[in-house]
Amino acid sequence: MGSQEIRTLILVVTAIFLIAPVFIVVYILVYNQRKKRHIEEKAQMKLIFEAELIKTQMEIQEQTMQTIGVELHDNIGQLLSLTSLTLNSIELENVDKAQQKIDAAIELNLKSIKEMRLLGKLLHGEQLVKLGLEEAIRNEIAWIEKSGKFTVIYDIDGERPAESNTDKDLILFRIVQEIFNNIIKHSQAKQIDIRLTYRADSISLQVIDDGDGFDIDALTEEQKGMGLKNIQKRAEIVGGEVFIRSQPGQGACIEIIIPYP
Amino acid sequence: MLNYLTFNTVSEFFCLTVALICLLKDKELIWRLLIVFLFVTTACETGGIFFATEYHDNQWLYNIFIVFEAAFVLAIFNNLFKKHGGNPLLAALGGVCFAGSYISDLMSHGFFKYSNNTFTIMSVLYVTFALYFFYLLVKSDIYIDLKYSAEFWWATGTLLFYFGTTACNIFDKHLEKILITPTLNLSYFIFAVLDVVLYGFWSYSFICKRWEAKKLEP
Repeated sequence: MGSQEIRTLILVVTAIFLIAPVFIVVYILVYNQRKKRHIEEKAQMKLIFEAELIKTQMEIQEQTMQTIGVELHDNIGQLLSLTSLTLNSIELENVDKAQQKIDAAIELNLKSIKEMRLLGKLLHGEQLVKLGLEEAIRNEIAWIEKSGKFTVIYDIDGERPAESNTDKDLILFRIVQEIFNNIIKHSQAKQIDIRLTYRADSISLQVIDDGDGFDIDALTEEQKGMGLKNIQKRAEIVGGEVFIRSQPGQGACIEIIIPYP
Repeated sequence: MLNYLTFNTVSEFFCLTVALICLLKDKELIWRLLIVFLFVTTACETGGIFFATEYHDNQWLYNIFIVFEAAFVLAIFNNLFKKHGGNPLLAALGGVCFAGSYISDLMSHGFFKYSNNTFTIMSVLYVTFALYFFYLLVKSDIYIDLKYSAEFWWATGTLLFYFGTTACNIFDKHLEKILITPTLNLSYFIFAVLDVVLYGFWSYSFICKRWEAKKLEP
């Protein structure tokens, strides 16, 4: 190698040595900008999640209020009216008949008290979620079964993790409410099977009904309505997935899998 | 007098002035001590020119300076590592490396010849430390606006300077043969540019430190 070549080589190596650290510094600056964007996106996601959580809480409250309204009007109201009518119709001259009516009124009254207690429990819906998702779902099932139109089979598989996630429980509970609403409004189902499965790092909720079913591909955006869209959106917000299988006349199966806790 | 006005002395004096304005009231002792270090640097550079002109030998002076340089640079890296969750033992290890190599240099050629091996070894170590500091920044979950980070620009100046000087030191014999002007070689210009880069970045770092302090003022 000639001296001129050595000189050129040395110049090139020196230039590389001088330029290389500049690239390192530029890389660090670019990476830092990406880190900033990532942090901002994370903060934005957190805000969206919190907003969705508040919305979910409000919807649960709204649904509770609606149920209470219907229950007061259709059930407890009727029971109390009947009690009042029974008591009004008592003729004190006929002691035996009066006694029968008083007993009937007492029975109606006791039934009203029982219904009121159930309503009180419903009012603490959010606390129920805090006590555990299973309990909250069980409570919801109790209301559905009260109508007498549905048979509900509820199974829980796996061990509930020692550390739960109340935010995810709340969102999952709201999804259950949405699915039940859809079944009650549209499916004409008679039986509902619910399976809640705890896995090592996820939770799965499967709801199967034997109702009319639907062709998911044929549904228009409007037909999908807020129900299915909300289920999808809520599951996504907690990093979960929704699988819907249904055929007209063959019922429907909705499965939600979310990372847990 | 004009002898004393070189790229090095002017950039060092400029950096010392910025340090005096920005760091004098800084809360961190280590940053305030940088003023002392820059004062020693400027004095050493000026003294170096004086001894070179009058006695044609100034290597012993730089042999003293290299001790100050290692102490201050390692102390600042130690501070940065501590703040950003790095291993604080690394700077101490750097100190051990310096002591070993410096004693070895002095024993091999005495005090009056510059400890070039020590300078090269320490340059590689400073570059490694600066890169390690960058790694800590990248690894951290906390976002720091690096455009205004005093620590980042201090480490950047250090990285660029010692990365460049390592190459120049290795090829010094060849680079000094390439004359740019009848009396000045390429090596001189590269060192001058690296000096300007180092003190330029450090000056900006001190300005950032002042901004940080101002932001924290009530």
